[in-house]
Amino acid sequence: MIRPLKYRRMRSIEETCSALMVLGPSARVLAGGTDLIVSLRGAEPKEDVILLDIGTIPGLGEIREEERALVIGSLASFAQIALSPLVRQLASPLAGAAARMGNPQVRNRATIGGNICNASPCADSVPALIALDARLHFVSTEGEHLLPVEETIDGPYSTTVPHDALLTDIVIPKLPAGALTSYVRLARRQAAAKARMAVAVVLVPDEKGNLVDVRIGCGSVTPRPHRMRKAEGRLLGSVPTDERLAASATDVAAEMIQETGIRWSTEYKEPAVKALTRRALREALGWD
Amino acid sequence: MKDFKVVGKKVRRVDALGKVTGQARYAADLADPHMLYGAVLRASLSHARVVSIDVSQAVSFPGVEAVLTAADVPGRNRFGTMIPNQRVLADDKVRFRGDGLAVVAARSAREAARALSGIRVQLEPLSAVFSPEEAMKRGAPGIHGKSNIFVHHKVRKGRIADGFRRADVILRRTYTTALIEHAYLEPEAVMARPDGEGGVLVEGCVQNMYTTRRGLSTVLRLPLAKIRVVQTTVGGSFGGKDEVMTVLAARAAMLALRTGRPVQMVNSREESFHESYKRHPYVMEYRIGAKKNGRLTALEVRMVANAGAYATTTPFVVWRSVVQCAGPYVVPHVKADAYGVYTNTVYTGAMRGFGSPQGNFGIELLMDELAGELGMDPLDLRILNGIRTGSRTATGQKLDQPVAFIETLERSARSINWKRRREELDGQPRNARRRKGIGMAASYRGCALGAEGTDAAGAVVSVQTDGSVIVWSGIAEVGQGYYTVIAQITAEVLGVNLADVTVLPYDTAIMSDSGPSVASRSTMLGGTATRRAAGRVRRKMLAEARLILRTKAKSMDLERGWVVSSGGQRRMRIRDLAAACFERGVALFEFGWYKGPDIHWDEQRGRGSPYFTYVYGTNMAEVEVDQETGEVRVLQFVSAHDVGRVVNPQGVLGQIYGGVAMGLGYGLLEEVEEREGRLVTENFDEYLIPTSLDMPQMKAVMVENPDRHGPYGAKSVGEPTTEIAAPAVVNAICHATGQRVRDLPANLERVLLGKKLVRT
Amino acid sequence: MEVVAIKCTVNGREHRLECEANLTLLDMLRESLGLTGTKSGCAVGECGACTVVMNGEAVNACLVLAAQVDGADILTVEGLQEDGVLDPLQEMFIRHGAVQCGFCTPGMLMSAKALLNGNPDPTEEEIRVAISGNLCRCTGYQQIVEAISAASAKEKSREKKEGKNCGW
Repeated sequence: MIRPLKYRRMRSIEETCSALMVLGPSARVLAGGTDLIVSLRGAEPKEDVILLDIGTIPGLGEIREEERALVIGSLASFAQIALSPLVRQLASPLAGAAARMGNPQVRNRATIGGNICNASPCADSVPALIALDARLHFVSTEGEHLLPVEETIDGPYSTTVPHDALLTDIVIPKLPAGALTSYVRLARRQAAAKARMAVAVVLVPDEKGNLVDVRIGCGSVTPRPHRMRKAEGRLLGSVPTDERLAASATDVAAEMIQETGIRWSTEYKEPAVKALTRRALREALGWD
Repeated sequence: MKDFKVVGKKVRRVDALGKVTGQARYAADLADPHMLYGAVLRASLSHARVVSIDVSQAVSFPGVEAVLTAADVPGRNRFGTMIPNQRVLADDKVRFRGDGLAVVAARSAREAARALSGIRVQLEPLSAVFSPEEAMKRGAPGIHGKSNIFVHHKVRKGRIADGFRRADVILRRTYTTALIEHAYLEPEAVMARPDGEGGVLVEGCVQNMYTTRRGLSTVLRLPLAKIRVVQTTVGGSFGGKDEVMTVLAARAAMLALRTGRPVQMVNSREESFHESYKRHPYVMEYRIGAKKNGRLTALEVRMVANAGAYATTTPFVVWRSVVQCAGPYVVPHVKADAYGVYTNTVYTGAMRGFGSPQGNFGIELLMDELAGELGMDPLDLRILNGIRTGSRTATGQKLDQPVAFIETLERSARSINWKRRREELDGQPRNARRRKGIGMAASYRGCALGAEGTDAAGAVVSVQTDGSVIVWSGIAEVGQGYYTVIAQITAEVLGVNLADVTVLPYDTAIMSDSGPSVASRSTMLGGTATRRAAGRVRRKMLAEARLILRTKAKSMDLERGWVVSSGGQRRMRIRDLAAACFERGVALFEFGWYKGPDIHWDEQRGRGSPYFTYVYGTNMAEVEVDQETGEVRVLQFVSAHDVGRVVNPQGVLGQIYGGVAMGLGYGLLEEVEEREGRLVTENFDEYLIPTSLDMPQMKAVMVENPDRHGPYGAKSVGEPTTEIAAPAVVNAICHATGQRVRDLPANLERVLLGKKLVRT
Repeated sequence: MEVVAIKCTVNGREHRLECEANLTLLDMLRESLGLTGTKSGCAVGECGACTVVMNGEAVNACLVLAAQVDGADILTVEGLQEDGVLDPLQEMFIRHGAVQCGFCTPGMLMSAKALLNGNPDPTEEEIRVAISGNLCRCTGYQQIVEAISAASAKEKSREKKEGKNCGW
């Protein structure tokens, strides 16, 4: 049973931003609804909720290639993203994440914008977006701004985004030629299970094989998702070796523990995230 | 052997059309223009005295027609098969968090739910116990009476001390299993309506109509004849729609009788998790003794089952576990004790297997550990000790029916190429990231209820004047394909097409109490009753045919819609015979009743013949374990079962495949997590059952070992097929990693770390 | 409670409805339109029992608000038959023993229908992926996968015979 609520169909980005500003925190943006509708179950309303349905705003779900970036509209569904030749070519870790998120029915409805803004610790698009250095394009009545993903999500289910800003596009800078990527995901069963942990990796080698750019993004590892810079530093500027990969993986685990402290799950997560990181790096390098 | 026309053949399920078109009616699909909707207020504490429940505000909430508590129970607020200590609504105490305190009937589901917030409850917390260990301690708070240990069954064979003295090797191990949810896709639902004459009609997904009716009779203070329970299409049960449905039906019936209107109650999935009973978690301690050559000499077992807040069928579950505790092996000296203990957690009861998945997990892992200790192939150890025709079981029963156990071992071994595969896999590098393993498990299972209770069932076969046939059975179709089986049996006996037979829904008004749809008894008991009823009709029809055709020929037969003579000559159509019988005043309506053979169980001495016959099975699995993350993929699975005779091949396959799926879930994925009596797992996002991508290719081996007690020799298939998949796959994991997992489920943490991590 | 006016097509018929803002598509189908073939198993989009095909895609009706289906084209299990003739999927489910308790069946059929509409000749893996959001507790999925595979082959041979496109 969904709690009582009000509903408004939005016809444009402007209308949405206006409504968000005017109606305040009781207004919630409704895109695919796969997270939001579940959260609205319950009989007794504590406060008013007004859903602003942006699902039919034209142009918000497009995936297009620009000169220096891949731009994904915030309404693009996970199914669209998983199947998009552009995403597979230009942002492969994101396509990989999209293909395994949720289940087929949920993938047909869930949007990348909703996934990001819901900011679940296991949000499937986030590790890949971090490794891809994605920037998020927000529009509000006060203007537009572009924010790196790392500066957007600051904790479980928490973003730094003002309530009245609407996420319209995800801008993924094109990777340099020769960039290597991967995405690995750990879950409790083969389908329809949330990511227990995920690692996305982007490596850019020079002609001699030295890594000039290393980006590691993890899911369900730290409370605030971010690039694992210490681990990245371990590999930067040199040719990757088994030992360096292992050390980098250990760094990820250490960074995790530094931020979360020792928790009930650490005994499992520590070896597992090490293994996943090593695996993601090896996969990107084509070593397995 | 006669060539069967319908039995054993691939046929269309008689109830599939409605299910694929969306026309089949499940309990939540029922509607009535005058109906009200019921809602339940449940406890917020695990153990507490009920001081007061004030509904005075709630009754004036919009749309509300009635608000009832235990004080409004017309009869006795107690029911339960063996130990009637379960309540419809809490009266003296709350004994677990799912206990219902009050119910509301309102004009809409939303209004009913809203009204719950108007009910004022005062509870006085009592100290609670959440584990059997705590509950068994001296001074632990008594949940019902003073002692929380309310069941003890035992098995004694030989002299246990002698057995261990003779052993060259002795192992002690402890195994545990988890709290498991049936997870039928259809949440519990019921519609109750007053019949206008003081009685009540209940329609719902009720698995055991007679048990539920008895409970209603006590609670509502109505004679059985005034309560009619009709089963809607059931969306899965697996043993789980018994007591929880009695509770739901009683609540709906109370509201219906009070308001004079139909009342529908439908559980959400969360409500189903919180209030419906689960599979007992067990702690099992073993001590096993064997000679150097692998011959078992002694087995000592202690099992403790967590019964949760109410008794339900725990006495029977625990009894089956202890009776079968030694597995399908000859063990000369056995000392086994099994206990059921109350705790302030969700109550536990019947679930497919009924104490066998737990016990089989224990003994089958133990056999593998013993094989490891002795340096023997686990298959060889089982063949060496396996029961055969004439063997004596752990309870001292001589198996005089043919025992097909070794055949299931050998055929599954051939199918998966056991020896060769084990050798190949032993050659993998020990520290490979992903390592494969192969494992097995085996079991024997007593068919039907055994000494649990009266095992009898009835059926009615009624040939209509146009030759079409109606069958009523006293046992429920819960999705397993039972109606199709009895339709096949009827068609076989009467020589008509399957399409001419209609099985009508299970209805207490028509049939004598035929016991529950449990214990994999439906084909054996209900099928035999049906065969008897059909046989009576057939004899009558042939007798009339002889008169009509003016022949004294003894060997007339009914075949493919015709009365045929011994030469196969078609003499008259069955439908014309049916019409003629009517005209001649001969009623083709017969009742068949079958009571299972007598069994003998000596509770005092812990020995006897607990079941009249048995089935045998072996499962073998190949897995791949990711040794860095604990992930397990099941690559292939062989499931070999002695089913007696295959009546419906697709049906048997469906039970085998489905049974393996449920067993794999049990072994690898499933666990209802509970913290201080509160269930943390409350929907399918957290409670993981296998999806289509989690299932391996499965190979089913059906062993036909016809039994004189079953219709056409058929025995049981529903439960045997799920009770050994978990140990097979866990033994395979152990083969892959070289590490033992002794606790279910063998999830990521247990496989990687060898232990469970407790969420804080 | 606010109502939202919507217009949509369900199983080929157009409907104009005034739905409460918090009504799900699932409840709209079951209660407003009396189409009880689509089932409620969990209400959180995890079991797939409520799967319908919306604008060609399989979706969980419990996660869609009725308000969101304005202008949409919806197919439910009741719409699979045409003039009393079973869809090949329905026929094959019966023929291959893919139906036990039947509660997951409507959702399974709809996921399969959406699959075959977009991919008439799927591999076994593709079939398993397509139904990976449809939980079944009875069958172990094997006969369901066989049925869907058989329906695709059957479609192909029927198309050959009749020379027409059997899409919905």
